[in-house]
Amino acid sequence: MEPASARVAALLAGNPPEDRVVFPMVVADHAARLARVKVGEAATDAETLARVLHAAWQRYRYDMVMVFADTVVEAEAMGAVVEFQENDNAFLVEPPDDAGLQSADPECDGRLPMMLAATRMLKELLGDRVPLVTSIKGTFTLASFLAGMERFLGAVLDEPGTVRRYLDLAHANQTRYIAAIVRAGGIPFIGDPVASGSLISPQVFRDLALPYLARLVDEIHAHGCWAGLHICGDAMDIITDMAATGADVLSVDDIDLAEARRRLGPEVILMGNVSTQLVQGGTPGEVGEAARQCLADAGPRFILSTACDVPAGSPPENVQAIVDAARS
Amino acid sequence: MTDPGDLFALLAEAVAAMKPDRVANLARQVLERKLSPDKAITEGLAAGMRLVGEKYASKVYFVPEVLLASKAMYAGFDILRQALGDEPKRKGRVALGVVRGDIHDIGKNIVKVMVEAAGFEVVDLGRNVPVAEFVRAADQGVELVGISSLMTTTMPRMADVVKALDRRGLRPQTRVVIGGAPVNAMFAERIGADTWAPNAHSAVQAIEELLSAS
Repeated sequence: MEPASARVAALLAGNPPEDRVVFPMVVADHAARLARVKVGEAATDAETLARVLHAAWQRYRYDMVMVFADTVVEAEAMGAVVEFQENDNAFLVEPPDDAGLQSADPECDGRLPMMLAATRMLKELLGDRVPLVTSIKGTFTLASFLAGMERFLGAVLDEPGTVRRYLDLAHANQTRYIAAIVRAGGIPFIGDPVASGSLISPQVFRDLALPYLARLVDEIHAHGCWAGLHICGDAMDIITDMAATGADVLSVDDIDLAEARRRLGPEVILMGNVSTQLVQGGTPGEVGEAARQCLADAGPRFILSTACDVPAGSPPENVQAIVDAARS
Repeated sequence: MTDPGDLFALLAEAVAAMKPDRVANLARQVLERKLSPDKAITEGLAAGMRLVGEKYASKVYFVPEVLLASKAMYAGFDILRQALGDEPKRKGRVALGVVRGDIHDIGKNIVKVMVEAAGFEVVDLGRNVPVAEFVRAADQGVELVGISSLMTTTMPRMADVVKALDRRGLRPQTRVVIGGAPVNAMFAERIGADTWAPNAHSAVQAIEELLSAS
């Protein structure tokens, strides 16, 4: 079998390889559990994060590695108050002080240097054999963290000035972070969980999320990278808008892949979407069955993955079952 | 002159149409015409929020629409509340909070809007709430505790709250309703809650039922 990076490159070039591309979204928490390391340590120490992510890749042998600690690293670097937990993901307690809110310096502020260091270490370990992506938040999501989610979503319809201000601040930050990730050897991969089809209407997505996502995608392309975009929740009614961002890979949550494929046409590369509940609580047989269904529904231009990140406590046999489904 | 019933219907419509200024205007008309603020709340504001709940369920409205409608509902509520006088609790006192480790409180806040509109006094414990604060609220006499968690990882902390209420001898007289995306009836039964609610509207119904029975 060709190395993962060659197969991913072929897929991106429009020549889907015979050996399917597979990447269950294993991130810091599941990788830490596998390595019997505290989640809180993997999310705060670059060497630990790189080590557990590398060990998880060595175990499962999927086709990508994703540097992802938790969803709040950018907001934290911009001044948000974050609470760390020993065995669970960090969460946001308070948005940043609004006065003087500005872009973080990715080489200095919060855990951005940690994320960059982990990216550099993994690049060193993996070389060019395996695509290395580093997770960044979409502009809409980061803006909601900067304003406070309720304040932000409550302003979306009737305070356009406020909303734009936070979106522009978030965008400026992501522009710098993207450049730093690429310098560190990573491919920025966008996740925009608050721009979810379950939280905002298709119209709001088009007005406020899509234009900023398109700008991030353009910047990632300008750095010579391909761009991935993950949206949580029910994205069916915005699936063509996701494509309109220009992203090369559209990663989707628990939606009907066959219907998504029908709406998108055969060219677009989809990624997804074995149910994370199944990965956490099902049997390897059930997970394998669901994975094969995804492969059949999505067609050849597809990266087999999970609907969202692999839950921390998922049985390793279930994660393996996804990889095996792609290999058989 | 508009019939009182029509004025309440207009209030409901203005809430559902997400118009804070129009709601405030109509609420002032209610007071000027010496109509019942209580009825204006239940037949106007709460009825409007029910419509909002239906639109949310059928994916016509999303979270920003619900939040703006809540703003409209409070624009009226703040005016009508003053006219209610000093009857502090009309139908009962209820504490609402999101468990420790979870800061997703939009759902809880929407439930709060609807529960207040339905005539209950709400003690808002906020988000990321330690077990002891739920217990303290029950100690201080709320009749019902509503616990919310959006994440599967923090769901077990709802069980901790029920257990702590038990140990303190506050159960079953303090009622417990749980809610949040990953919660279901089976989980509610397992942890010993009185019931669960899949959305804000059914939360209000559940609270009405539990407190009218006690």
